[in-house]
Amino acid sequence: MAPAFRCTGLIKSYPGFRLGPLDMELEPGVVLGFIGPNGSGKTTTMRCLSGLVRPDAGDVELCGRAVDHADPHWKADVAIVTHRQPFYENWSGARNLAFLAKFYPAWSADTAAALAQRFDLALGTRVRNLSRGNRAKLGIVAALAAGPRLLLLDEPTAGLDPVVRDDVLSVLFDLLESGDRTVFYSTHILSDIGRLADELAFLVDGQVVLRQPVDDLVENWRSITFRLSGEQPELTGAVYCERSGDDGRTISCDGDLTAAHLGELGAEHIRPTPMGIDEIAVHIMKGGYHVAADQG
Amino acid sequence: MWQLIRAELEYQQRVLLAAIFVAMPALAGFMFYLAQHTTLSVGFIDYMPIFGAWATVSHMVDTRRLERRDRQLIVLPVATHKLALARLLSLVAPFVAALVVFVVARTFLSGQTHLDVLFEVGVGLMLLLYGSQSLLEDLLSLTPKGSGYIIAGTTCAAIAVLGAYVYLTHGPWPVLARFINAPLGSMKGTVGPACFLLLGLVVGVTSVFTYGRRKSYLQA
Repeated sequence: MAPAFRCTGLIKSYPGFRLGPLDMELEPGVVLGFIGPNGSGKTTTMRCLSGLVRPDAGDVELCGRAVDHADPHWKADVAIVTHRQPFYENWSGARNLAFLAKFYPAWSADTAAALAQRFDLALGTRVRNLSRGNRAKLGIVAALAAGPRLLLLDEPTAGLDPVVRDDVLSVLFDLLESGDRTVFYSTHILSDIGRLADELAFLVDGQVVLRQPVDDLVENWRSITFRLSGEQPELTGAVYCERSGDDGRTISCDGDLTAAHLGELGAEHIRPTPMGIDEIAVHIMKGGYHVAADQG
Repeated sequence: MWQLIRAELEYQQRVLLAAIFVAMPALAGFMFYLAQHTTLSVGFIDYMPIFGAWATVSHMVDTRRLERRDRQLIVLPVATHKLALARLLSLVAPFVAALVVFVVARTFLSGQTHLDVLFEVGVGLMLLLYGSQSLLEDLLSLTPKGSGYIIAGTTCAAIAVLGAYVYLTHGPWPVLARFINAPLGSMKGTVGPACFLLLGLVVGVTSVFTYGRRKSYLQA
């Protein structure tokens, strides 16, 4: 089966910023969280994948078809949701959905109705009168009702207040958890996707610095305290170190390896502690993983 | 493609109906009044329906931009040349309708009609203006920003044309003044309007094929 998406040598440049070259692919049925700080290139990647923006170089395939506007069949397999989803503003949500339904062979009016009910979304209201939260919900309803094989979610809850955001996400996650969906979810807030993602890819300064299954991250990353006299050595797998006298603490992307290295160096009181995914993400996005890779 | 055109026309139907069936007959009446009660040059005011029809579709163009219609529609599984053709035809249709209604009203009032010339010059101008703007957007990413751009631009253009008209008809070029002051009817049988329409068609059709070459459909 063809990957849900594959990009090869993808490059997109703007003044002061360059994305890529990016080589990525996503297998069907996987939920991939695309994590990165603001300005790291997440949205640009999404736009290149969905054909909203033409890359400067590289190839993009979605569900086995090249992203080519002249042959638009690939678009029926893909839906993108952003936090500024455009609609016919003076039409109701229902009218907008009816319009979209004409173009998607796999469109399900039943799904649309059920989702709207689940979201408690009034489809009779004109889009221009919808709150930001309800607009976001309408965008998600429209995307899922089209029956896409790949769902691209580009910070769909950006700009929403915490209560509405939680409301939207909890329903969205329930929906995604219950089905066999392929999702590429971009966000800078890990808690948005942490519970749902099978894998996480971290984007820093236009480059994917790490992509791993969530389970591997949680299993391998450790915060390790130790006691060691003398100079601070370069520790295998360490992405961050701090010392206070003989007491030290290090963050490792391979806890077992680092602990073994510390043992070889004669360190005492070596205590590896599991890390939460949020803490791991912060260290990766701060650039720590670059340091570790360089040392390795 | 027809669904896109139909959607756009339905979406704008209230404004279009008012502009085509109220404003254009009113304009015909106003021009009839001018011809009866003033000594204004017939030649210049013959072009007024073209401005009227352009104002009719300007609202559509502005709304499309404000609501980021390109961004909205580009994700649909429809080829870009069909999107571009739908975009163009959804403007040409009300433009032509506005001209037709005007001519009917004018014929009813004064029996004077130059539908063929008016159509050729008007549609040619409209295609030339809109097609040129589309080409700039598609090939050079020159995207006008902000609301009211088209209407403001049209107003400025109309004022500029008026200024040029006054200057030229009172300046040292009597031949040019005679040409400008010539009523539309005097162009009948000449190749000028047909050439103008042809040029507009070339630019308009070209813009259909350049739409797929855009670097971005975001309309941010």
